Amino acid sequence: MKESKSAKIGLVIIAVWAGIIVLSDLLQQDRRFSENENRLLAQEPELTLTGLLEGSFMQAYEQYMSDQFIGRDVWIRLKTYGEKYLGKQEINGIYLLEGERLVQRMEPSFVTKETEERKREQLMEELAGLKQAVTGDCYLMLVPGAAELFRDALPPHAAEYDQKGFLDRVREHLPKDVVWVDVETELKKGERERLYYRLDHHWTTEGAFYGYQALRKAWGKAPAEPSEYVVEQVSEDFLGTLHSRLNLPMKGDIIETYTRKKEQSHRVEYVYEGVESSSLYEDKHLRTKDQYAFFLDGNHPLIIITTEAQHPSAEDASDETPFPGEERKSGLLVIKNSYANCLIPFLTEDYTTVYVIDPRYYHADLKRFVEEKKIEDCLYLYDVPGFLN
Amino acid sequence: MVFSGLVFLFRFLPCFFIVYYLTPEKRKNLILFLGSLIFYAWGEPVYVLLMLFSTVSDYIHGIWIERYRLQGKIKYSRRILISAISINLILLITFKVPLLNLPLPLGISFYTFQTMSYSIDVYKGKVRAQKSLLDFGVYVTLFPQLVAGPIVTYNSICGELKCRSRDAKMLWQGLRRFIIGLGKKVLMANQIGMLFETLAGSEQISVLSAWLTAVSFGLQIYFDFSGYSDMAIGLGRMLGFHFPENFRYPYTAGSITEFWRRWHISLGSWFREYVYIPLGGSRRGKGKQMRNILLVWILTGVWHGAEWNFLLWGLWFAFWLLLEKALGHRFWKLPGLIRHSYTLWVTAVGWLMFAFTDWEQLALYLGAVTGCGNLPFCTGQVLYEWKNFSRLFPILIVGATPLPAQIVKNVNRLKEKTGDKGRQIGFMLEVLFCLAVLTGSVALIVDASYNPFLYFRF
Repeated sequence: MKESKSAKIGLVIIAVWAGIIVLSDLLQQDRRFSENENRLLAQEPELTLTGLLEGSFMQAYEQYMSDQFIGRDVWIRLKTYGEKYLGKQEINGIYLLEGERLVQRMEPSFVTKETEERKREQLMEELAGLKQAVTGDCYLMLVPGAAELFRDALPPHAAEYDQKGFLDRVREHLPKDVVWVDVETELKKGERERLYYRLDHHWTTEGAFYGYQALRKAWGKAPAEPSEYVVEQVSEDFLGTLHSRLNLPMKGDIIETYTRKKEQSHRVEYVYEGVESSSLYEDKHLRTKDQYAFFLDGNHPLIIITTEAQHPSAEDASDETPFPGEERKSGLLVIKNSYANCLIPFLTEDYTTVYVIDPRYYHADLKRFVEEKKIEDCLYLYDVPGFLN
Repeated sequence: MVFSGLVFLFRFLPCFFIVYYLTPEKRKNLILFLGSLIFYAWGEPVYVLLMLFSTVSDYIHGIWIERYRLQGKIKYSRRILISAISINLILLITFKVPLLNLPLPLGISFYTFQTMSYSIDVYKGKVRAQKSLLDFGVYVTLFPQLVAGPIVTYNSICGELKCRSRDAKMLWQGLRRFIIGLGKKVLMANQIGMLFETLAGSEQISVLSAWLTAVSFGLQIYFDFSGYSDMAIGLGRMLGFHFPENFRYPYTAGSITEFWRRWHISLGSWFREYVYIPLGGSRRGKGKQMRNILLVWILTGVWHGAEWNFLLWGLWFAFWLLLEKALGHRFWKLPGLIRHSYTLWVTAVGWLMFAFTDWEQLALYLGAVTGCGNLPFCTGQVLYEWKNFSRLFPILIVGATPLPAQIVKNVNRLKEKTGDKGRQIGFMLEVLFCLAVLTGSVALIVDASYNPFLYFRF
């Protein structure tokens, strides 16, 4: 008698718990987008006869259910805790280093030799073509990801893809007239903890500043003086992409902007969207999850940035360009992924017009574009993991 | 549908049980049959017709086998039996032999074996033919054990097909068993499976990595398959069925003979009852017995798939079984430690044959574990992966022994002594444990990138 009573209690407890999950899952509104994971979520699939017979409906439904499952973020956090206490040195492909620092893992098998070679050859071909199209020079800048600079801080025996080796191989095969930007050497001069966000896979604005210095070196110009810039904190609660994959409670990152003391005015044209702005930064993103989109409003197929020095006074004509004794060049084409977004503001000081193209979304003929606009220089800018992915 | 999926756990199962318990006793089998069809059709929307065909065919065959047998026309009865078995075997071979390149219908190896046992038992007069097509349909399609066993012979549940007792205690035991199985699958098998996948996909093979690969696969397949069996047995219990046990701590076996009495028991006893014994078993002299053992293990191997590596795997076990038989008492006199280590070694090497369908890869791994591959002893990758899993390993190893069950038993005994208070505390701990396992499993399922069922392939 006693035993059957306790069995009933047990049944009720489990049934109530399962019932709460089922009911709250059924009653909640579907979400279109996961702020936390920064991706579109699967929507309820349409029920069709062919879908049923082929089983595609069932597969889609399973994906839908998992994407929309009640408390998804909380479940993921629970899972991360479990793995952490099991002593995993890496969770969801992310290393947990000291000081709440997350570093994306890049396994040696991340790219096969063949893929790497193919990508490299494609790049060389593209660069050679661009070099012919522009009137000036063509620069290549590949930024190593955090795993490379934090190599000695990674768990013992962690096998990582050799990003430095890759950079060496690219450099070796570079067409003679393309200029190599040695960003790695320049980055190593900085304090690595400040070069990359702790919780995001991008580099910080400070990291991008070192990248800018490397570029100046490649141009044959003197390094920029840090004292010439006003550094401003625009956010201190940035939980980036790496954080989303673990969803542990952590202190957010700081986002900074570097602005020349001498004021400039910008006209930022998002060509495909038909939107214009007078700022390189979009504050509205600081209130969302994807705060990195603060820089140039995230990713767009084509952005044209035109810069003028403000109030150029007649008596101070020599000081029209931000760097004394340097002339502002006419146009620069930047072919890039999101890594470039926080570096581009620096470039507006050296070029009157910066054309920013993200080839993932821009599908028109590049060469023709360059020739039409009579673009002077070209910069190809990616992070190594992003380039190889 | 997989047991460890959200659709099964939070859509199918609650709906099914609510409808099932609200339905009056007389109609319960109908609900069970329809529920099973939905369950199967979710994963196999077309092959569900194949299963229905197989069901009707075996149902009719069964009735005729019995009719002729009762009329004394054994010859006719035998012919119908041969026809029934042939149809099942043709189905099985058509889909399992990769000649036609047809996708494998889920669970076909399991349900054809179940219905063959039915036809044979009817022929032998061990059971009466099932007159109700619905009840027979319930037996074949019963969703808890439909796709990955245990292989339930008809005579072990024919009584429960008609009438099943059910009370709160049985329900609770079933639910608890299901949750434990879910935990074994999601919290243990899937986790160690990731280690296996990493190592097996790696290009740097060393002696240690090959051993770790074998051990992690052995643990994965054990927790995967025995977890599935636990879930099946638990669900069966909740419906009022008593399915046979499928695993009894196989890695604690002291010989290969014993290992096979503890591993996938329902398959082993099926072959024993329907192949080994009819062929004479051990009663017709040593020579015949050797032949029978060899045959049974070749069949056990190819039951898993028509690939050479499964045949090799079967022969590997046949070899050691025969050796143990040949050595007789000399083997059994060996110290326990040696026999246990030997058993683990044979099974671990066996798992490599089971896991790798590619010859070259298999040869490489076999070379590595036997130390004649001229490979490094250890690589950095192994050390790194070992560290990642070093806390999980002891948990899994202890989990594969009877120790946890023993602890629960001792606690229960303690409960009896401390009276009501102790009993209540003990019970609350039990409920909390189930809640924790269920919650943890859901957390892992929601964000699962890796959630296969190894035995769905067979």
